[in-house]
Amino acid sequence: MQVYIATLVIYCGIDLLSAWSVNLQFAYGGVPNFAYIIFVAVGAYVDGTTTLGSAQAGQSYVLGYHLSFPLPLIAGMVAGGALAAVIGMFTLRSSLRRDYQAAIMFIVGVIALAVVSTATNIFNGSEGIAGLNPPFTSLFSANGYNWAYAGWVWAFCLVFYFVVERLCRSGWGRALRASRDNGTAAASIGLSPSALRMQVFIVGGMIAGLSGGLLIDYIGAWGPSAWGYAETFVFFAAIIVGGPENNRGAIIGTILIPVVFTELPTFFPQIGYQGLTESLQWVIIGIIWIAFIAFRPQGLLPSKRVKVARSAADGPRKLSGLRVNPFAERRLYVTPRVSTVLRTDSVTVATVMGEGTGAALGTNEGAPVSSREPILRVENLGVRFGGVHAVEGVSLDIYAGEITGIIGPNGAGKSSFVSAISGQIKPDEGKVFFDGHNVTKWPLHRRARSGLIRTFQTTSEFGGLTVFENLVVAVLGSEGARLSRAVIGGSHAKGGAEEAWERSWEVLERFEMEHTANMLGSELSGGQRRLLEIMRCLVRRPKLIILDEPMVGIASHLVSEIIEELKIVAAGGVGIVIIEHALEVIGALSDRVVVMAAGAMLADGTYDEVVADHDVQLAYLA
Amino acid sequence: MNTFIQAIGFGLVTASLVAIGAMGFTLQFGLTNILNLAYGVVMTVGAFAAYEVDSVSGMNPWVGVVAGSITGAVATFLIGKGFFPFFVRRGIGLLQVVMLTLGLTLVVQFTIEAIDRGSLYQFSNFPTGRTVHVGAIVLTGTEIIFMVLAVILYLAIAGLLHLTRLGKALRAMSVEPSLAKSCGIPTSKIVSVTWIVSGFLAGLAGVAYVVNTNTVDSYSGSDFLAPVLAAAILGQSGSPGGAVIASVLVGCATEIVSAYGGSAYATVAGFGVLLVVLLARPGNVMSELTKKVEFTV
Repeated sequence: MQVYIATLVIYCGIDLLSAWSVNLQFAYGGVPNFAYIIFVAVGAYVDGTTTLGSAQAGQSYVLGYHLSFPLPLIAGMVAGGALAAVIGMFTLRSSLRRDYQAAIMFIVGVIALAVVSTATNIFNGSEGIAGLNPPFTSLFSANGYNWAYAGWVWAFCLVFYFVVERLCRSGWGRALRASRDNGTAAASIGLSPSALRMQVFIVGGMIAGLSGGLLIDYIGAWGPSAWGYAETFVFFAAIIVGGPENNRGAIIGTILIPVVFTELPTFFPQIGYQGLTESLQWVIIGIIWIAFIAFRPQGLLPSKRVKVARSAADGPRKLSGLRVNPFAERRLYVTPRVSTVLRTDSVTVATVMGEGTGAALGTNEGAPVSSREPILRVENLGVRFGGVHAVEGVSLDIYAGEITGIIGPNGAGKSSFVSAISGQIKPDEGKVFFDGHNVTKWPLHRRARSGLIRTFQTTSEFGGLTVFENLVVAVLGSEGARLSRAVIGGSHAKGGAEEAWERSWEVLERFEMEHTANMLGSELSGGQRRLLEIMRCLVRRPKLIILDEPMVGIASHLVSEIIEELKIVAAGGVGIVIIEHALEVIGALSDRVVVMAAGAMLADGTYDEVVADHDVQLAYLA
Repeated sequence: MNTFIQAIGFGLVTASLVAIGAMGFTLQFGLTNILNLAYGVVMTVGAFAAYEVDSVSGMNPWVGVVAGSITGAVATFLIGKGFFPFFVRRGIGLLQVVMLTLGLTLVVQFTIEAIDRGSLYQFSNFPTGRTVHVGAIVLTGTEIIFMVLAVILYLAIAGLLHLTRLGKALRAMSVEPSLAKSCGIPTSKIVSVTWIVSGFLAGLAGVAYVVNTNTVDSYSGSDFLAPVLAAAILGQSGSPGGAVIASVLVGCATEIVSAYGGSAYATVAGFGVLLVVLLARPGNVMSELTKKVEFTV
């Protein structure tokens, strides 16, 4: 009985590592890795072959190098990560829908099993490999060894729990969740969704390799039949039942599904023929899987929201972001800052008192105001969708500090034009220069990092993040999303986070949205989502903002306030391009108006000039 | 050279089996936008139905083929009209629906395994027919029948889509389901017809696969799903013609690799074609697919 319990404890620990790995990849990163089990298998295989050394008599396999314990475990981890890098190159393309990624991953798992079972020279076919001696057996008695190994496994669990929690709560983890929720919006604030997905895939692959290595070290043998694609579903079921995006939920799910549920039949008399119980277990796992997705997608232990609140005006500042008590709801406290607004006759300048920096909200500290060099130059841009010329031969210069409105009928090519400028789509002709650089071939996230920020025609918020997190992730951008920073941390990381929290709170106050700070992006109304997108642009301190129909769904009293805010921003030297159908907004806001029709530029001048233009009236206004 | 030509011949046979399955999958996916991985177990269900009819009834084995196809149609109709609408109405997303189909795969596959005791059955009663030599290519009568069947089915489906009002309505619904409904198109009826037709093809593909391999077990459909899915994805959503062309690529790649590299890698080859295209030109494969996020059930 003792041996049985010790074995259960060992399997629970090994399965828990896998569950956290799946949770990291799937729940946090949005990577539907339905081939997960092959990463565990490759870790086990490499650990086994690097423990055994050259192919033993009667066995045929590759990678037979003998390494001393615990180097094979490390080799297994590296193998899991390496396999993830290779598979990720094919399957984590940003243009693939996630359901396609899921299907491809599933098929990769099915094929891998078929190949391994028949490739006798490489993997010894369906026989697998055997003959491993469990490590450090000489130090313990037969009974004591199992508990010692359980302690070894759970030592890893303890370390990896804190590692995974740290990663998930870091700026990297936040950026991962943002990319999961909306990859295009994440790229528009400088994040690289494909890089983040690859990183989490590799990290998860390494943890999978480790769990495989720990398993084979204990069992002493490896066979393909133990790594069927259905085994992946056990780990996913543990996450779905326990609670996605909750590492403590993963503990509950692992205990319930891979341990309790699969071991339960041991305590009951056998029903029917040998093997019937195992088949029925899988049927029930499938039913549980479906039931939880349908009726309890948040699992038994839903993920906790990170909430932010303002402390008393003279109270101590508590910024507990990096000193997290993993067993308590996290609260961040931001002390109120004094905002000074100086108004002149024609220019409104807002300053934020922040540590004496005098940093201006949404201003570009380095750019000259109304410089004669354009911040954006577009030369002969052309965009085609099949046979349709959405944009043809459009050239345009945008200057810092200038607000340029783009108007035109539906199908004029306005959104395609700004999508090509921002890097969301590749132009078929022409060039785009931004801040002196030829950015024509730069992807969206790289242009965002250089200061070109945009909003989208359909609202693009990070639905699974709170409003406050939506802003923080925008402020921190790619710098705050570094995996190395998440692992190492340090005072630089902490300082950057504090500034991000303060800037985010200030812009919330500016737009009177403090009451929404702790609401999820998906819980906002349409107008609030629009405001959130605009705020997200402003906290980035851009050089150029492109707003694609930003006023849709915004209450009329807020429209005039947003117009004033944008004028303040432009006065600080930021270029603004705005597409709108509401001509009163264009008239109130724009220094200059460009009219597009049928993919080409029709007119360019002041609002009064273009409105009076005969061709414009025919094409759009009449 | 003979080896290569023979591999092409076998590749065309494999392609015809894959094409039958891929046409059904792409029809279903093109309309509903549901990436239904339970398609594999429907193929298994069709295969088992054919086997049971063949081994129990003692009738002409082709009766079993028809029975398997009809069983696939019924199973798919029940899933399409009974299972998916319940979850779609609750607002699940693209990934959640794939996960649901995986859950359904677990339930059905292991129910079959529980019933058949995990055994492997021989489909040895099925007649192979006369052997036909076409140059270096050697084909059996049954293989030729399935190849001809694949061509006839493609022509029938292409004709349905492009020459009938039903097909026009189906194509309209694939692009804009909401607009189609508001134009008075009987969307529910068209969805039902699509489930039935695609399920018929799934059942037939499952039967064809096990006739070709001579064995049937609870994993048959899942094993065959890989090349079917590869061909359907490569051929682009909702395009039976694309599915057929992609099936030829996948089928020939599979048999050529099998001839020169060994059967162990045959299943990888077909999927490898898809992975290469995904790496080199993902836009070609995914161009219209990334935009559509709603389901039609």
